[in-house]
Amino acid sequence: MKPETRLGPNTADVAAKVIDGEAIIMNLANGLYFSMDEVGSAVWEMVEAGFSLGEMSDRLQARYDADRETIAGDVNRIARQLLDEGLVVETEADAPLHDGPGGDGGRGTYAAPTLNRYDDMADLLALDPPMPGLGALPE
Amino acid sequence: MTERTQGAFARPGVSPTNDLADLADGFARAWESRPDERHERWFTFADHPIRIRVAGAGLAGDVFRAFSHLEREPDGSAPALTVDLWDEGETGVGVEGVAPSGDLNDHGETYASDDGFVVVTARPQTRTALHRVERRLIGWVADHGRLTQYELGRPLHSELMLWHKDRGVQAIHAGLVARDGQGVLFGGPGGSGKSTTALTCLKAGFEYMADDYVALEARPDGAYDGHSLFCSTHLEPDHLQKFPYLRPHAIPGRLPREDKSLVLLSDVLPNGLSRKARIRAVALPRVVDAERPSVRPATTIEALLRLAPSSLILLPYAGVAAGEFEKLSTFLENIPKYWLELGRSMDEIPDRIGEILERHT
Repeated sequence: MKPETRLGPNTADVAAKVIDGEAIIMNLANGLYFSMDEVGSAVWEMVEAGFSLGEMSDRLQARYDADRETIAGDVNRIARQLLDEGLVVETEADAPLHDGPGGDGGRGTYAAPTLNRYDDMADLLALDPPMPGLGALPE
Repeated sequence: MTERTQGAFARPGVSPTNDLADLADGFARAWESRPDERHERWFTFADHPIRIRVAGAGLAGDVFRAFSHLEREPDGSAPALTVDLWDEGETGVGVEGVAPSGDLNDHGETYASDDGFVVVTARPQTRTALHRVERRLIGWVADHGRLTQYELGRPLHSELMLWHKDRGVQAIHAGLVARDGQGVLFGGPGGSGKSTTALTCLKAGFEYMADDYVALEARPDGAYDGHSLFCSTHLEPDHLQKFPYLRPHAIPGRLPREDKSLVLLSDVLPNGLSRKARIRAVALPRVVDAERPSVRPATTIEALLRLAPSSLILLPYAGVAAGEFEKLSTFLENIPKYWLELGRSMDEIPDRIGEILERHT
């Protein structure tokens, strides 16, 4: 993917949350769910903020003690995985929505982001498909 | 995350509003024509008064039993939900175009009116229509003797979840026990040990709300209450063997695919059942290779990974709203959480739960 590619959460099917530097991402359409630790959760926060892949790499390079090539390769790989799992979609935006995650001021130890995949709900979901949500009632 | 629209529920050629009217007419005819089959009781769901009327003695017995621990006396309050059900086999009253369907699986099909207010659920032996604004649920049952074990243990499950959701109460996949109204909620997927923990605690004198489904309500003061929904438990044969006190009350499945036993706990320890508890902590049971159970702290993300998938993905209606995920996250961020590591001995499980409560009450 190109550095200027921007991704956003697949809001139709996905719910996600970042807590204490870890992300949990649920694909409610197929029952698969995922977690990502520190660097991965930062990537997810930047996805939510509408960063391009290049901007993600810039931000991670400023925060971690790793070379640009390694980081850019990892960002590209994890972005591809997120796309393949249907967790994100490519967007047409030409700028981030906001500043994204802040750093703690220091340069942390870099660990390649990993998308941990859990499929224990998927088989059950196949037997018992979810019903689409209904809108809220008027006040 | 956006919530899917009612359009996802749309089904060409059907009219949920007409279905509701037809079912209302059917119930009215059954109720009027068979005064000898009229049964009415009141219950408390999530602190709200609910009136259930049933035309058909057998069906009434089946439905009331699963909610018997929630029964209340009418006090003149307007019902927050009126449930009207009838059994065609018992009353002889049917509705044109409504018949048992072998084409549906046990969970049936659901479709809604364009405005989302009327939701119809069709299952093999039943058809229900919930008017979410008028707070009225009407249901036809072909023959209560052919209801599934699931329908007997958790009557109107998906309909009641939607009704709870509309009241801001989130039905989640969890167990709940308490002492003196102070509760520990058990989260985890099927087979993690929720039932083992809850049923062991019930036998040890804890108040029992649930081993599978809890209605979670955030209070204005930031506290959380857990409400009981059903007094049933479904146990695999080997699981049932662990609980000799339940075996005499086990109801075997009626259908070949129903290999679990249903136990209505109101038949076993009615005084041990309770309607609700203030939730003081979350425990995440999991089976480990150890002799005795033990407890250690869990992180919010660990708790979310244990609770959210089965609560949000598998529960009807609850799973697709961003708000539901956010609510569950907020709950878990603001409550103490522990791993409850279950060893081979079940005897000390209640002690571990008691210790958690002592720390947080």
